[in-house]
Amino acid sequence: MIKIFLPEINSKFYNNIRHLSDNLLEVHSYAPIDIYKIHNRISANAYIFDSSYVSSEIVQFINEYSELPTKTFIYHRNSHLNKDMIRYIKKSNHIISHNLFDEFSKYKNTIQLPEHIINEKIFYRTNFKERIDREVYLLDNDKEIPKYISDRLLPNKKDSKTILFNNSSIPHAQNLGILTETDKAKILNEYKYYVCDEHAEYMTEAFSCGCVILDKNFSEIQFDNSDIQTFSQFVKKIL
Amino acid sequence: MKNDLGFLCLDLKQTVEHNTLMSIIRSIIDNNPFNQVCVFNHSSSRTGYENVPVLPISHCKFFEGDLFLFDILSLSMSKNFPGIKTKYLYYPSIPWTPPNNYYMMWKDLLKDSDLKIITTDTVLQQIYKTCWDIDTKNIENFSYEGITNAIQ
Repeated sequence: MIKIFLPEINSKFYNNIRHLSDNLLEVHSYAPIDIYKIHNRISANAYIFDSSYVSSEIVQFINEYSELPTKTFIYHRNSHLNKDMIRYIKKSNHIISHNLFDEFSKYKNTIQLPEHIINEKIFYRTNFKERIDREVYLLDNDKEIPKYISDRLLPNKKDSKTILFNNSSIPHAQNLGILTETDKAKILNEYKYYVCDEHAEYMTEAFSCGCVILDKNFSEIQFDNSDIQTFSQFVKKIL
Repeated sequence: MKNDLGFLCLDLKQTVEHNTLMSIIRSIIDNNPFNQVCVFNHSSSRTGYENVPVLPISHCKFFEGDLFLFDILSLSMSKNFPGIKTKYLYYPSIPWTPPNNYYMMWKDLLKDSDLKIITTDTVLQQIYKTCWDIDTKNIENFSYEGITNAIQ
């Protein structure tokens, strides 16, 4: 049995790894405070920390425990990339998104998060019938509604077909609320179109669920499905 | 009016809105003598009830007929009441605003085949249609005519 520790953060990476728990893998998710206490309790084989919260206690922990059999990782979300951390915390591996990886590929302790990565246990096509004629946009990483989306919302566009999800800090009548990963899979099976955000974060999932994928100009994208990796493959690889 | 009609109004007050509501219900009672029409309520600070039967909220669970609602709490409470045929929600706004907007909770409440939403303007009507694919009825004035048109 392999045990993984994750911080309690609502983002695609952590939410999908959390769903990987099975007979061989146990995922524990807590706030990364009192990490030594957590280690005494669960003694995980791998610890994944978030670059937005690496305290001096966590740095000390990484220095003490980053040798086999325990592995430590720091995941850098697109919005929280910390260059100094990659340079100076050498005992930990750093997981970096594909679009930011080139700059840091010279460092030995960096791992690229693949562009097309999916949790195949959650995101798969279940609806082969008629879909609701709406465009789905996920606000996960946005601080405000992007211009190209707001132009297509009420009251700017009368016969608007766009609906928004998953950001409680952006008030809009067409923002229908927070979704879990399993809810997202249901949504992507229910509606016809998926509109890409800046990082096209859920493009792979939308393709797997059978959505028509639209770019910022609302024209259809042909998705290349040749290099899709799964989260379970990725976790096995890094462990 | 086909079915008996209940109005679930959790807190009855001595306000202009509730005075209007009670007089509308009185008119419905007068014009539908063969139907049972009543109000279900939790607390009241009214002095008069215009001869409208007012029952405790616990009786609502055993009511058979249509139910008229005014808030989301009443909607979620009446979700599994077995005798209710059609629920009418009069809601002059949109309920799914942040921070308490969990999509699946709202979907569970609003995408109910027994629920008919009554809005107060065409913009709201369009929002419900765009967001939830729900056809709503629109009454511009909360009046006897508006209510009876909406529930027919």
